[in-house]
Amino acid sequence: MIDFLLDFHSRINPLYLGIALLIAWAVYGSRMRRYIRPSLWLSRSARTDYLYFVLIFAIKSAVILPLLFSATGIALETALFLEAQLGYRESLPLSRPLIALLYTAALFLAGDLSRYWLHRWMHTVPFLWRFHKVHHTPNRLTPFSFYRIHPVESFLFGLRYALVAGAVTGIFLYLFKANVHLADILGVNAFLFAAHILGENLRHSHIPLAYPAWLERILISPRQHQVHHARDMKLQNSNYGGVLALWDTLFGTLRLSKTAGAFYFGYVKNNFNPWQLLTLPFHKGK
Amino acid sequence: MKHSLLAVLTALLFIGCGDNSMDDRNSSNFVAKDNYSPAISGTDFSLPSMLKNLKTNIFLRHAEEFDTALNTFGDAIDALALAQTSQTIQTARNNWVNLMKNWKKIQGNWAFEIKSGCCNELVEFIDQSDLVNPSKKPPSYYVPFVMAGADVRSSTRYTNIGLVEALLFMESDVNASAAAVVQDIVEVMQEKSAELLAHWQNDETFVANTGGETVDAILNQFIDNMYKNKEQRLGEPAGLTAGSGGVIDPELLEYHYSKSSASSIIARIRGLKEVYTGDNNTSDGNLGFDDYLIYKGAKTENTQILDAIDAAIASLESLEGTLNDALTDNREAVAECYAKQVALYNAVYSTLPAAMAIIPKIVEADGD
Repeated sequence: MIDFLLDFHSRINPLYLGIALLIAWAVYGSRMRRYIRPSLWLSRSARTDYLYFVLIFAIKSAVILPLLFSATGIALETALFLEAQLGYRESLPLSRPLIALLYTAALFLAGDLSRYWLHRWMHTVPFLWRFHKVHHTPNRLTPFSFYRIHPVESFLFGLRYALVAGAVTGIFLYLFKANVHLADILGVNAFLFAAHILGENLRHSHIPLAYPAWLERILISPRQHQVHHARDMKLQNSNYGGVLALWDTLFGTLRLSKTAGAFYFGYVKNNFNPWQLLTLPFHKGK
Repeated sequence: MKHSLLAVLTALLFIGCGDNSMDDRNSSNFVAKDNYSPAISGTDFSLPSMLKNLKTNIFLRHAEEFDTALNTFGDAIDALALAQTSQTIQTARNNWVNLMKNWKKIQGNWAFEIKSGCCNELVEFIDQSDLVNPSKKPPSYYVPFVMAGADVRSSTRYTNIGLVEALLFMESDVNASAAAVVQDIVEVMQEKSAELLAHWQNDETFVANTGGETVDAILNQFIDNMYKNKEQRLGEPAGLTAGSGGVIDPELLEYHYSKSSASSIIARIRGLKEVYTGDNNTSDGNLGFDDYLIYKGAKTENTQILDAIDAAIASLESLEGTLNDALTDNREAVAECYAKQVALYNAVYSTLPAAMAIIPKIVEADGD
């Protein structure tokens, strides 16, 4: 688990958490004290986050990841399918940096778009909402709330990633063969790395950092995601985007921070323990 | 509280399981294959050292061996041009088959794309990539024209491999005129071989270029060659590809006349293996792609690729008789060979790039 926490793919890597804190400090200065008070970070909801994180990490490692299709296998099948349909071709003559840029951007855009739609369906399809509501139970948000997801949802998001990354990679393998490379920073997709260090962890926190309205139509601000975690269903059914708000803008689900007003977190008032979170989808009720 | 404690205990149990699987992957308990041991154990890998090893111990050596074999073949052809006896004919034929095995080793491992000039010209002169194409005429079609002094090189079907094959093996005898045509071809090949040799002796950019283009080019050569092995050199003649409609056509074999197609396909795969392993079957310290993968923590993938290489070679070696005969007499064995070539192609097409972190791994099954 320590490996996971230190992995730069992990959103709660200390580097990202530290930078998020610095950003918040730079914006809010002494007002930050209200956002780091123990009653928030050691609240019952937060403690559940920490315990549940350990639990979901274990379930993910032992059960979910082995069940997932390999993105590599999907990439190969996609490339072979294209080869069968369009014929074998040698690598297209583009420069290595350009191919890396195209591939990295395509992976990021396809990944973020698919994340938007799956997230939206998790809210709008009643069967999927049964599982996704687990993520909307915290009434105090911490960066660990990101991991408060039901194993079934974790599987669905993993499957989504394998399919999308596999398909995009397969297309690039077919077009560019072994010239395909990821433009990465510390091993992470450069676009995602940028998102991680630009305060993505503030999304699951009480720090209400909003962007100018024009930017919130392109990038999801921490405040916009907090709006998505509101108890009010009208607010909750907006801002499904992962990194980009562009999808919300395009598909009519955008809500700007300044239009949200005050709200509570958590789809219900109740507090849950980790076991209750795991069994929540199978209980009757909303 | 009781539930929380239970959850933590369960989690610790799962984490324990997860850690074991990781240990398995990273452990030093790696089963080495027969006669195979990677040159490194984990951290002392250097890309420039690998490229230097490939250049010196493989590419240059193969170029030297090809040049030597070409000169030996040239001598045999000169002798054949002087006297067309059964002995001179047989010597010329044996040397041709040997020369082509050397050529295939070069072709199987060499990233021609990264260089221009002499190297590409040599490839184009000896054999073009559209060598086997059912819509085109076989080399034997051109033999009478060539023997009559016609220049048929404008035809895309014309290749010097095919033509020499036909001239030396199509009939039971070889006459002086045919030998003279082969002499002309050998003369041009010798000029280009000398350029090739000089290129590898003097080139410094191959090793200096560590920006990745060299490695990419070698990987692309792996992919390209293994594609041609499975499709053009085996699948199409055997009627096993989707487009062949099940029609068997031995004339589509690259070495149809000398009946040395199987050994040539094997030579290409061996060439690939030498580059892949840095030729460390014979000595330690020669860095290759296997070491690169181990350095990247991809021991399992390295084993998969080596297994695919060995299986592709073994299936061809186990064929009884020539590939020409097996196409019709032993369809099952040929289909098995084809399946192994497909598996090898898939390994170099996806497993290898994935192991080199070209294909991203699933890192986080996240929600939002």
